[in-house]
Amino acid sequence: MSHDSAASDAVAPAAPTFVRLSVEERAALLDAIEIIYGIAPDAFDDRSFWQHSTAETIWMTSLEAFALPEGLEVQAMGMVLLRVPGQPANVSNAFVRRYGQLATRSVLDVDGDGESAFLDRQSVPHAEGPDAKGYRIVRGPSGPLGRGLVQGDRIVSQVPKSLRVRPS
Amino acid sequence: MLDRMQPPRHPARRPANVSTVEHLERYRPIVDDWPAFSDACQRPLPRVVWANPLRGDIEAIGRRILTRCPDAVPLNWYPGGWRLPPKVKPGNWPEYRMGFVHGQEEAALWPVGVLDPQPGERVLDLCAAPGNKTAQMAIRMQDRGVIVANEKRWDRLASTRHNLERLGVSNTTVVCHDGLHLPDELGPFDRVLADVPCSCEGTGRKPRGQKRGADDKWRWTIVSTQIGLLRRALQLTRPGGIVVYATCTYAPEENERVLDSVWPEFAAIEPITPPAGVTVAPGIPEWDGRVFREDVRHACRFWPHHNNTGGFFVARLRRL
Repeated sequence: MSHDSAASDAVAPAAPTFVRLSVEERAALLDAIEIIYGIAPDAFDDRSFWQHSTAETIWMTSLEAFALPEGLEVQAMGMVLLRVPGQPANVSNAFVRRYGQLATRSVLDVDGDGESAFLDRQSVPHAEGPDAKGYRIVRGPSGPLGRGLVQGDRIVSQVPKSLRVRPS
Repeated sequence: MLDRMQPPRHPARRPANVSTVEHLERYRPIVDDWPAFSDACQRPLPRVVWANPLRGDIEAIGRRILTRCPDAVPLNWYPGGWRLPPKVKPGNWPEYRMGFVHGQEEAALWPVGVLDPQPGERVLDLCAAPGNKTAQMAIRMQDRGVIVANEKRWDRLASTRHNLERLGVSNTTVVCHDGLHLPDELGPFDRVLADVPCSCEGTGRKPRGQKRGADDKWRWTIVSTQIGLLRRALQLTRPGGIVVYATCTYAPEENERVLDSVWPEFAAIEPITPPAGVTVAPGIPEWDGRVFREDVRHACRFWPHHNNTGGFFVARLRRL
């Protein structure tokens, strides 16, 4: 076997798993979050944003984060921000709990009973009218609880099962 | 009637959550107070939770902890840490699910304090699962800088990611790789935590801790891995950087012997100053006929009877 054919058989180096968002992509993402949730972009001045090259999820980590060398299996790059590409309203529950206190739009504040129900993955009522739709940041007396989805006159809790709090 | 008077065919099995010290007899020569040690090992371990400042004010979280458990006692050496009675299960609290608090053994809080990572630094956690110390580091770094949290076993990554996500940590890059073979290009790091796999003999007080001693063949296998991991940690650290080597076992083969495998020209073992009210024992200078390097005395041993914790070993090395 010649060296040429061996070279042609060689496997191409794998694409990097996570790619840092460009300045324009970052600005577009933060603009969308500001429009939907009213969180000012300067809240993320010390954060960097990365996209998974195949799953296309958006991740948020520190500004100092660096691209790891090839050959390493990177499982997570900080905190997942968007699991569904192209849907900036569908922010992760981890993001909601960390930054939900800063939100001024698309927010539903609930009382203690509503908080217990929401953390138990039950739906809670809202008073936004029949035209309401989309995702909401649900906040209770303890702080941001998680993401909710408007379905009719109720908001369905999207707290993950692993973080469910059953009433004692 | 006669049958009832017969001794039971099978002796009563010891409950799984009760520890004995028979398998720890080999450490009798290096324990300062064997009866106290033996007594401590057979008592259940108090649980410890710490408040997460990324989620809110630790004093407000402390009040919530007291509401859940009025018997909670604050740890005087760890701000935001609370000691709970052994039977309390904080994992069921809403505060735990929401990331306000996290449970960790008291002795296991030590290595990160000794490592002392600073905001903006580049830090490696060589054996990260289940992410308790990684989260502690991220909080000390105010969620700035970079932590590369490496774990070889992919089945332990889910718990690592879950814990970090629940606690709201975002400066951590989670990697699944063999710690012995991390590439040079990943470094250099300012600080590295090598909390290596071990025989876990110091966890006997935990409900599901290690209640048996390790057999010698397995132990020497794990010692070679520990030596490799410590050397790799030092190789990935910049000159002047810090490596903390930690295990949860008493075995000198897995502790001082591993430190002894590092050339004194390559790294120095630095003294550790414990906070007021905490008692530690120095590293032992020789074991089983082998004399170790002089500065292993600077390492710290945590015996259960000194501070009512589990057993632990921590050493702080500075790369030269």
